[in-house]
Amino acid sequence: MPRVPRWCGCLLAAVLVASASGCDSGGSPEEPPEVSVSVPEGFAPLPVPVQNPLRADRVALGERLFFDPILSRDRSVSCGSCHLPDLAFSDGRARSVGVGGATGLRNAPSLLNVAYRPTLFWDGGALFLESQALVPLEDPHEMDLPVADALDRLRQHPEYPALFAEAFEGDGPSIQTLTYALAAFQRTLVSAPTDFDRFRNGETAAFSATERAGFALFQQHCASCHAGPQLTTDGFENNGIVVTDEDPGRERITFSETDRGTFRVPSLRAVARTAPYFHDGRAATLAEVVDHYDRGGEGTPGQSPRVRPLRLQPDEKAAIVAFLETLDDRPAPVHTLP
Amino acid sequence: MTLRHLAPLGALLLALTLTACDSNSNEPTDLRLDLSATVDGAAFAAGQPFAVNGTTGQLDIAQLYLSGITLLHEDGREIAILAETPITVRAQDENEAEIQHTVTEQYVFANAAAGLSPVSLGEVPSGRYTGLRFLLGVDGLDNRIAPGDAPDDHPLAPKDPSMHWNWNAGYVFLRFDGLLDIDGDGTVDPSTGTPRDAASGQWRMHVGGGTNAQTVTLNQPFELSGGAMEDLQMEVDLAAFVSGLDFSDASDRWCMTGGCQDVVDTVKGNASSAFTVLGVQ
Ligand code: HEC
Ligand code: HEC
Repeated sequence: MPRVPRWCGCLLAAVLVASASGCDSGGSPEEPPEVSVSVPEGFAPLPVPVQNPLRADRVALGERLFFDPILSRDRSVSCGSCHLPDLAFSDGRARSVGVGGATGLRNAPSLLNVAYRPTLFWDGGALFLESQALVPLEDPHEMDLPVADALDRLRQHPEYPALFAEAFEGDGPSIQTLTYALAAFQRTLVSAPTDFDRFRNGETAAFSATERAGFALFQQHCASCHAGPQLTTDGFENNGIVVTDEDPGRERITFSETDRGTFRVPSLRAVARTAPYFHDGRAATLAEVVDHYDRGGEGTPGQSPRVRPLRLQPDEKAAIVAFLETLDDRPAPVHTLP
Repeated sequence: MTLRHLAPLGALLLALTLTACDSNSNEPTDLRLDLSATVDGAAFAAGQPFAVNGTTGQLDIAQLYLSGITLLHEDGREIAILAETPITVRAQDENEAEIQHTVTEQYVFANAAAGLSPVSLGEVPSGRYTGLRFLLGVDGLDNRIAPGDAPDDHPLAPKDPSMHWNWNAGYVFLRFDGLLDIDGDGTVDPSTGTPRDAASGQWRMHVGGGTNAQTVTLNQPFELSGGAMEDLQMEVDLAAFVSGLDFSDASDRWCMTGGCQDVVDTVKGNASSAFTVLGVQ
């Protein structure tokens, strides 16, 4: 077999790639057990990339890492410090506080259903859960630990090297394996069905009369952005919030002035557990949020025409809040498949 | 099994083929790119001061990406260099849909602070070339991949210091981190840690974005005689990238691509003059 020149784009290379990627998805005869999570009706099947299957060992390792403060400079903060399970993996603060009490610019969002988000962060800057994890790790306002130091700590740990080796075919802690494990765990964070799902599935009695009235108003005034079972289009919109140069929203990503004040439409799943609200936690309660929309926003440049004065009656505002309060999602149980 | 593992076998077979026939000038060349970094006419060394734009600077991190390397043969052929092993990874298309994407191009990641070593470009036809063309940058879908999906030894795999923004899609394709002398005493000044602080000696320039990738064409002839391993030696003058920036202005010392397009444009304009073909060895 002669050595094939690389510049001709040859068949041999293609064949080898095919067999190389074949190895990735399990060269051993026995497939390692994976986990499954049932998703609420109306959700698409849980998106899991072929590169990072939901192996039970990987998810368990990711869960342990997620709650381990070893990944912060002074070993005081874990991912779970700002993403608390009881608060649907948000943190109850207006803006997150990291290592040494440093306050960041933004509010920690819920991580429920994060596998479904096509983009991550309030400005949609990050594209993949795997690469996203390096941001809080290294951010001086969050965990403030260079990734090389994080990997050193894990390599010297009495248990982690073996857990990595098991979950990653012998590979120890690396940027890839660390971020894959964290991402695998986070993909299993899915909503268990709520009254909202039961109502959507035709169980009218799941909602009180007020909640039903609130949902009807929500459909009329809010659902063009907070759409479908996940209550978001995942698009980018300006909902009439005043921003500063420090955090101009999606403009930071696109460098386009028309994106100033534009944020990813957040899913409202679990919104009853994720106060305070908006990207910097400026609204303390759901009633304040509804007031913002009722006023028609602050009239910011570039505000969406769909945010306009609604002139709602007090009982109508209360009804919308009552509907939003039904969105009190808890994580669905995770099952290991035999 | 990957092509990488096969390479030694291929090399052996190649050696056998070579000894079996007369060496003649039509034989292809096993080409490597041998890049070396300089500043101010001398070899670059991390953390060592050098003269730049009328002041003194030092770089602790100096990293860049080249791609789309195309050799321009005298007979008119354009020899585009592809990766020895294409990789298939996740990428996000313009509609934010996740797709599987195959990176076929040969990327060259140059970490000048760590010292540069020759990168194999594979076999190319021998003969006279009028020059070469490449992209300083990462563009198209290659700039929207999940870096962690690339095998550890791939140029686009996560690097430390990082060449990916993570909080934003895409790679930094030219990364400078260091210090500058801002008080004019001839020695570099410390960083205060605050971006664009007039009192800070911090020098940071992270250039990225597919639209900022810059094509460099070097009309500098070279000849590949064929039959053996040959190194195309190319020099990159790191200081040349920033020529024309005004380092007395704090906003020219700190540019993370957003909000400093003037700095980015200066770098793009300088890209071609930063590279020189030294010859073939
Ligand atoms: C100091 C608090 C803090 C810590 C620690 C922290 N996060 Fe976060 N997280 C945040 C904040 C604030 C945001 C929103 C940031 C933004 O939008 O720019 C966020 C956003 C996210 C998102 C994006 C969610 C979405 O819907 O866009 C994910 C995923 C995430 N964090 C995972 C993690 C992981 C994994 C870790 C540990 C490696 C971690 N976080 C550690 C505060 C924290
Ligand atoms: C034009 C699109 C649009 C419309 C219409 C809209 N929203 Fe929003 N909504 C957004 C965006 C964008 C954000 C995030 C803004 C920010 O954080 O600065 C948001 C944030 C929220 C939040 C905060 C979520 C959180 O986790 O902090 C709530 C609650 C909310 N909206 C409820 C509503 C209600 C109720 C209505 C109807 C009265 C409505 N929205 C109409 C786009 C919209």
